[in-house]
Amino acid sequence: MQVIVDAVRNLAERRRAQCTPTAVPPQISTPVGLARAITMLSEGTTGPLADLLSREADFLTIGITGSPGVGKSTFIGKLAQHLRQRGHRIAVVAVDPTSPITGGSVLGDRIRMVGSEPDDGLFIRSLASAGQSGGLAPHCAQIARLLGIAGHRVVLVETVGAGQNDTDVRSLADEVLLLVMPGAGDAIQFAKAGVFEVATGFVVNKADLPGADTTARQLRESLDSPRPIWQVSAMRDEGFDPLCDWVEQRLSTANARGRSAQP
Amino acid sequence: MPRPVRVLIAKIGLDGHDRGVKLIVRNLRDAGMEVIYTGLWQTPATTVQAAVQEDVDVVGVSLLSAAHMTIMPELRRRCIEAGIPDMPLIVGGIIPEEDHAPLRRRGSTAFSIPERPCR
Repeated sequence: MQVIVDAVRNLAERRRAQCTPTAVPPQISTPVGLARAITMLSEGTTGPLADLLSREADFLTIGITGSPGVGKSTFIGKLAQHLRQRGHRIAVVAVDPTSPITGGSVLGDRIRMVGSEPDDGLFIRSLASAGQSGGLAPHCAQIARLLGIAGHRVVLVETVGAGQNDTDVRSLADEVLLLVMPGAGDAIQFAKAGVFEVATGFVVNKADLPGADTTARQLRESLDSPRPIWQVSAMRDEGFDPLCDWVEQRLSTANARGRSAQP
Repeated sequence: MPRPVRVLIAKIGLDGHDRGVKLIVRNLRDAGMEVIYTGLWQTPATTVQAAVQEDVDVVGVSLLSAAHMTIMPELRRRCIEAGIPDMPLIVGGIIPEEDHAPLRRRGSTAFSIPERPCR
């Protein structure tokens, strides 16, 4: 095993040594350039990209959050697929946790998002949380913005499996969808401060399981202002049309609400 | 601190044997790397698109289907097409020793994993 780990490390180091850092910003109109630019941002190198990031652009950023295993990646995969069918270019930023012990991470969100054919209109980037609390990765806001500027109409940002206190996603997203599943709580859970407050919409995923109606009703009764609640089954690909209509309606007002302003 | 090595690990083709690759993923993670695992039944096309979008340093492929002499050169060809001609490719699984040199000539580093001691 060590032979393989060493081989991977050696090949990676050799390749990095060949890629000399440059002050010229990469061409974000190409996938390779865009991916390189995201790497620069994730390293904290913003200088060469400052002009790009200040460009006006018309896009909608939607944060997707919820506890581990609630189905965020599968949901995003299906939502992206439906929005692609409606002709929109979509980007996904998916965050998974970094080990506090080794610094390593397994970024496994793509598995649930891509089909069997490559799709040039769907750009997915996995990021490691790098020890940052709050549910996101460092420089996430700039990365989401760059993806929007590169021509993606909707940027979906998936947090790590999040808890009640992981509310950072609100600051970078125009809309925040909180995923819950049947049996995940009652009216008291939903009344608590934190992540339930910052959500602008709720998705009861796994709605094919018993109890989905009850969860949706308890959620509805606990809200003091009307916020949309959808019931979907991402695995069965059911319930996405009303949600896509809502996204398109937000898109049509996104620019009017000044959403392209610098974060 | 330099950013961690980013490595894409993929299973390509109709090969459902993923116990070995999961062990590799865990060990790379424990060595401090960011491991993007794309799961079973991928194609050279989806793998190269993932390698581009994720801006990885290395692509590792697990093959136990005996299709390595077809899939790995195809992967290299698509890397060149996609604008990442120098992407290091590494393949492990059931790769007979006599195939290692031809694979290397066609752009991949090969390992025969079952012959290596596992920890």
